[in-house]
Amino acid sequence: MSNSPNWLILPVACVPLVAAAPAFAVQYMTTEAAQKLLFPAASAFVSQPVRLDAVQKKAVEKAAGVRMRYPEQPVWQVMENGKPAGWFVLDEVYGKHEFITYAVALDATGAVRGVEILEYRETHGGQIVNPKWRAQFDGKRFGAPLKLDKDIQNISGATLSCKHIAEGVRRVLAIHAVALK
Amino acid sequence: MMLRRAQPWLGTLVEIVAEGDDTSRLLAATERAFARIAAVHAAMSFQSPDSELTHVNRAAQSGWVALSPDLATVFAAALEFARASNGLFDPSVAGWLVASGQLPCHPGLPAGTATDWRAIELDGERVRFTAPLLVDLSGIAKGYAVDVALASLRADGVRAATVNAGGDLARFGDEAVPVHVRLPHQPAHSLHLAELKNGAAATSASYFQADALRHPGTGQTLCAGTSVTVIAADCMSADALTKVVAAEAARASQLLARHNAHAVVLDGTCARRCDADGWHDLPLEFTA
Repeated sequence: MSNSPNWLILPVACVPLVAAAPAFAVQYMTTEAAQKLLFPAASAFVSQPVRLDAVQKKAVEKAAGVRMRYPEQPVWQVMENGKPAGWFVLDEVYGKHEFITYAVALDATGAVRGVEILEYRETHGGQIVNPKWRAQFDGKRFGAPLKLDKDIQNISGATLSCKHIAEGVRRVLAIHAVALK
Repeated sequence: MMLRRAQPWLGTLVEIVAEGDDTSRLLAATERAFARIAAVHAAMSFQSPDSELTHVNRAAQSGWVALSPDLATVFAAALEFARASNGLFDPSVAGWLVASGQLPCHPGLPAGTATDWRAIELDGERVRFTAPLLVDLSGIAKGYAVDVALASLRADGVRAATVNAGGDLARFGDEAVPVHVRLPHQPAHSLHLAELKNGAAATSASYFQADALRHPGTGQTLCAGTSVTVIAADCMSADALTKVVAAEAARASQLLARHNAHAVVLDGTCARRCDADGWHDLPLEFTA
C-alpha cells in the first residue's frame, strides 16, 4: 500500500462484505418536478390519460414491437400561453430485476424532447452470497452488523442496460402516433 | 442541498449527483452536464447508424476523415493505451463483436475486418485506416463522457458532484464518499471498495451481459464470473485500464503504476488488489 495517490483515501484494507440482498432504490424526482424541468415555459399541464381500445393497443404493439402491459397511460398535455406545446408521458418499465419509472417529453410535433428517470428500483429477492465466499469466513466472523443497502450509493459496476427504457420510449412514440395526433 | 438526476445515455443509466446552495443553478448545471454526455453519445455510438464514429468506420479505410475535437481526443487516448499496453487494450476488436451479433452491422461498413490497432493512423484531428477494420470506442468513451460531464459541473461552480455511467464513476468534492462494487456472481450484493474524494473508479464485468469483453490477441471471452475495478485520477484512464487488467492482469501492473492507479479483481472466491508493489490477496471481512 505504498505511494497512495492523494485523490484516494485508501481502498479499505479489508473488505466488508455486505451480506443482505439490497433493495436498491433511488427516488430521483417527483412527477411535478420533472414536468417543470422538461417544460420550463409551460403554463399548465392538463391531465389527459390515454385509454387505448383493442385495435389501438394492437397497433401500438405492432409499431413498437413491444407488449403493452396496461391499456391506460398517464399523459398530460402541456400548454404554453394557452397553446398546446407538447406532451408529458409517464411510463414504467420492468426488467427481470429492475423497475424504472420515467417521463418522456414530446414536443408539439411528437418528437422526443427529453427523458428523465423518476425512480429506479432493483428488486432482488432474498438470499445471499455464494457459498464459496461464505466458506472462507466460517469461524472468523467479526465486524459491524451488516449495513442494509438503503444508503449504498456510488456503485461502480454496470447497472442493468437501459434496453427496457429504449423499448418504452418506442412504445410511447407509438401511442402518440395512434392516440395523440 | 443535493440534486440527484438520472437519464438513459451510453446504453446505461447515467446518474449525476450535484451539491450546491441553489436548486435552479444545480438544475442548469446538471442540464449542461447531461448535454455534454448526449453529445459524446451522439458522436461515439457504434450502435447508431449515423453517429460520427459510424461515419468514420465507413469512410476511413478509403482516406483521411476529419474528426470533431471530442472524437479526436478519444481516438488519441485509445491509441495511446493500445501502444502502452502493447495491444492488450485494442479499439479495433469490434469486428468480432459484429460477427457474433453483439454489435450491429450497419450498411456500408467494411466486411472481413482485421483486429489491428496499428492500422489506425491518427494525424491531429483526422484519421484513416490502413487496413479494413472497425473501431469501437465503448471501452473508453463512457469514461470520457463521465470526465467531460464532471468538468462541466466543476466549471459551473458546483460544490461537489458525482457522475456514474453504469459503473464508470468519477467525482470531486471536499468529502470522501464510499464506492461500492457488485459481486460478480451475485450482482445484487456489493462490496465497499474504496473511499473516493477526487478521482474515478471504473468496473468492467459481465454481470448482466455475457461475452461482452474479448482478449484482443486471442478473441477469448474475458471477465466471465470476474469483475475488474480500477481506481485512477480520471475515468477515461480507469475505464481503459480495466480492459488491460481483464486481458492480462500480470502484465498490467506496470501500466497501472504509471497511471498511479489501483486495480481490484473479484471472482467467485477471492479478491486481489494491484498497487505499486504488484498483486496482493485482499483480506475479506464477512459481516453477517
